[in-house]
Amino acid sequence: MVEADEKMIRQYLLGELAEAEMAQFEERLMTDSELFEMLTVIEDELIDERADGHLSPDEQTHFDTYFLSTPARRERLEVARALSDYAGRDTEEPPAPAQVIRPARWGRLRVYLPLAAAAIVLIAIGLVAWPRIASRWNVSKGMAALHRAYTENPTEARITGLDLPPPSVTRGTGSNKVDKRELNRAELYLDDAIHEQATAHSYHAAGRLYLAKGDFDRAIDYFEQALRLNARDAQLYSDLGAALLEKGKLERDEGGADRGEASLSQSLTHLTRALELDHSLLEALFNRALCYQYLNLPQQAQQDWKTYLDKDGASKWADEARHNLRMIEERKS
Amino acid sequence: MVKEWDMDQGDFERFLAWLHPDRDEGCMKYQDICRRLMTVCRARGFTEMEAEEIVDETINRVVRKVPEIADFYTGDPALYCYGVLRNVMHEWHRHPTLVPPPPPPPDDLDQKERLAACLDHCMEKLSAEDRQLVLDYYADKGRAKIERRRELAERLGISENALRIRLTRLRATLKTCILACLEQTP
Repeated sequence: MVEADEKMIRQYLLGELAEAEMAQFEERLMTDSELFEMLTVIEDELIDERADGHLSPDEQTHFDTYFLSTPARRERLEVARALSDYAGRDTEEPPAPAQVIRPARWGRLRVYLPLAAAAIVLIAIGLVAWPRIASRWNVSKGMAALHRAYTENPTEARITGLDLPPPSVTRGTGSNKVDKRELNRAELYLDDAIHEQATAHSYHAAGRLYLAKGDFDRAIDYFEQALRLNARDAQLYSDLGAALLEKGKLERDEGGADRGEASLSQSLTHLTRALELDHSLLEALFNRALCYQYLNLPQQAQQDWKTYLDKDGASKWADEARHNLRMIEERKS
Repeated sequence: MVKEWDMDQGDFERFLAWLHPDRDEGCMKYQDICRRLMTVCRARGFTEMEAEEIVDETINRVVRKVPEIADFYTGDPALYCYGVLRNVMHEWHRHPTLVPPPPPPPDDLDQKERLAACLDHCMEKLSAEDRQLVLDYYADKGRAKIERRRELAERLGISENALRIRLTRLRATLKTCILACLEQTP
């Protein structure tokens, strides 16, 4: 990266280029990967310089009036200030005696309070609210695209947040047609949502995407990451249970009756947890009945199907429940 | 400004094929173009939501045009997308506006402690080496910071640019962690 390019990136970010120069620069940005990467780096460095108060007066004016025109950039400035204060505090701390490796929690908090005082601006200007809104907006668009990608639920187990009818063929390959474009859009939005703000909500949505796509391991990974951030979400447990159920079914199909037991058992645990948190969650109830069936526990499955039908007697999923219940009763007789 | 148009799967597949003969490569190229278009929109002062809408509309228009241009357009598709983006941006007639200075911070001890705890938590989640790198880099200000960067690059045996990229990734990691932590902390 030549110095002239770095200078131009700074001018571009600060809005100091004429329109024709900007357009020329942006054309390069579209095709030059190194330039694109350096733009991100220099953007950070400009923010650091502003946080330290080391921009020239002209640059500072451009920075404040042009660069800082969006909430996302203002929040980045506050994070830079927080980091700068953190590092400053850290280097000012007297060396601790060798035997005291870690100060007490409250002691550490006291050390960081001045940092917090500076960084609290971040909350005042919406740092907390804005990324949450942006991330949720991406999740909402991603989920809408995911919904449009399918005409039927892509798995036999129910996925929360996807209001789709059951698959017309519940075992083996169904007739579900997938709109790959919408699926790609969903992936892009949900990837951005996590990139913007990794929350339980965004991880959960990404997990749903991979569950729908049949990438069960990846779905499980995302659901588990979401659970680490929020362990009291019934829908999250239900979807994790659904992913493990589908994984268990696949393992069983590939390796005979003995395989898949572990995944199915874990699925049952999570689905039961979902129902402990929200006993009216239809997806969890449906999935647990299904899970009992695959675990060859017909009595428990029968009970769950009946409970399900008490709560939902009219939907297409209720037809599935009635069909499964009838099969169990026929086998018994 | 945004026009309703029913794009079918075939249109999008043609678009991907135009980007690259291999479908997976085409998808990656599509995502890369979207990231770059988003960056241009942000640099032009559009908010995240506006940028999303503009890029969405840009891609829609390009997808619609592909059957007409695919046979004779010989340049990089990314540049064609950029040309369309410019048109869409012009239609928004949006320019960066002056922003008022942020309000003074409220004196909320709970919030301060929450933030302090989150920063503490996120710094500790970094590896010892990365944490030290952040501390060393941010310990200086202004010109001294640039000098320090040179020293750090030498110490780590990497180029200065490689160090700058590493620091940018670390900042992104920290920011994501801090925001997630703040959201989850009651």
